[in-house]
Amino acid sequence: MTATGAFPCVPAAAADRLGVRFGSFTALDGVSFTVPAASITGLVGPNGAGKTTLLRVLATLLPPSSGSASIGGLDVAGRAEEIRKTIGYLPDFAGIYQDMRVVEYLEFFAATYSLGRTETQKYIASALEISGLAGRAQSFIEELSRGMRAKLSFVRTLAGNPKLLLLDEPLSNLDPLARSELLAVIAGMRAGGKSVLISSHQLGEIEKLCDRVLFLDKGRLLEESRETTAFYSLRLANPEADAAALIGGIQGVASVTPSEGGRYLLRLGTGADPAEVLRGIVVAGPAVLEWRPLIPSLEERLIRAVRGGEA
Amino acid sequence: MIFRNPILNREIDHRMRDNRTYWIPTVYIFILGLVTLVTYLMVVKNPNSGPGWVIGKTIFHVIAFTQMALIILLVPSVSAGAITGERDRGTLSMLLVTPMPRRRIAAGKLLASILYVLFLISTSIPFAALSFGFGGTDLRLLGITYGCIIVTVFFLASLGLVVSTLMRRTVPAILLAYGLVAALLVGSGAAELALHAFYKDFKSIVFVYLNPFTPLVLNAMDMPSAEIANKHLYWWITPLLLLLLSLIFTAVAGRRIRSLRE
Repeated sequence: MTATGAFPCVPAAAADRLGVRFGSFTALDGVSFTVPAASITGLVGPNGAGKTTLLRVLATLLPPSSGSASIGGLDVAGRAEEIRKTIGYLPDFAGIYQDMRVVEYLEFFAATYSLGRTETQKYIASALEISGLAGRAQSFIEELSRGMRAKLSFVRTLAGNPKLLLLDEPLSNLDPLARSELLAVIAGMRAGGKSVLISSHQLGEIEKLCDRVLFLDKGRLLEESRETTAFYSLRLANPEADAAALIGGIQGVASVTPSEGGRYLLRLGTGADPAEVLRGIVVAGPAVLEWRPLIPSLEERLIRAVRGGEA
Repeated sequence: MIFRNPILNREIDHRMRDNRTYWIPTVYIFILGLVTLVTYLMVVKNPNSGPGWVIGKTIFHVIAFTQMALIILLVPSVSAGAITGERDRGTLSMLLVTPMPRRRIAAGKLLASILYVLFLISTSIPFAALSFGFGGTDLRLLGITYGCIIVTVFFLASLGLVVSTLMRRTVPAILLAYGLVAALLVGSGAAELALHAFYKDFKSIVFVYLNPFTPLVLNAMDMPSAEIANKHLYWWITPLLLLLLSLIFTAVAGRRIRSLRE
């Protein structure tokens, strides 16, 4: 692990109207996105949404049927061998050679990347430290707990000092402690300049971990999440009886719903600037005690996005 | 790390840690020992068996036939799971996304299968040496016989590897590999019979040359390049054909692995 981790200038990964079909079944349909360098991007969606297919395309295991995808500017269809030197891939069903010792397992993958003796030793030392398995280096993998194996599988992906990590459900089947430890390790990758694209059903943890999240459903990208919302909570000091009507008349406010304790739920119109709306309220007269965006949880947004797609 | 190919090293380590690695040679040696003993007793008790070198010669050929049969029974199960086994374990995609050239994966798998069976064959050397003690054979015959056996190992291992790249699961792959070997053994004989039924004056054999036992039969009859029932027969055609097929299978397996997506 010698070189720096980030792709210079180009996105770590990108897709442009990417499509994958298996016979008559469409697994991915016109998906376009970018994964910025040195970022962690989440990939969420219901089962069968196309998350694994998308990661397999980026890992050069599946060819696109239409559109294109690239890793660090290299097209996955034509530059697969070069791409494999720059990525680490953890599949959803990540098997492991249970009859190997931990250190042998790491040596094996170092050899698949043709690392020299010194590089191999540095990689193994780093991998053992990151995974917390330094004390179990000589243990057979079959003797490790599931959490330890998950961390070992993860550090296996670092053998070639990848610039981009593609992680397919790395948190599944782990207990909360093991999940938390692995999340901390993954979060550390960003600080090291690496980019991560991670799929998971653990939405709460994905929300905390990721800089941004891609929503997939039925092979389509529904939205890229942003930390903005159309909903705001407003609390006034001495609300007048006609306060709701007053606020409702301010430009950018689509609707006002009074609540208890001088609170109002505001929904802003498309393109409305929250700062301008707040200024309008203050200018109109009421004393504002609280102005708070109501950011829905990732789970709420996913459900809304999927239901919206169905509608 | 004995070899530069990590797949080969991994396969050797894996086999050495597998309990089957110990009981398969045990059974192998036991069968060869039993066959040798039974052959010896049968020849010795036969009043028409002739001088001592006949015992040695008989033992040698019986061991050669037994060994060929054991190899035909064993190699497909060793090699046909080479790629499907990785898929079953969920480790194939991890190998395919490494920058290691796919041909090295194929070479590592093939060599691992061959080396394991060569290790088994080496355990038969004491039994073959016994025939030298009786004076029934010479180094030329020993070389030809073991050469034919080793070429057959290469042929069966490469056939198994091709099957392993074509199938998705190990059990069907092994069954298909055994089916192809059985088809070769039975089918070549049936095709030969059909050929000679149509062309009664045909002076050679064609399809039976594909049978790995053919050179052993010819050598056992002391007719490595002679005539049987007015037919011209050459022991070396079989290993040459099998070697050619092995190279084709290896190339196909390499090509298949290169195009494997998972």
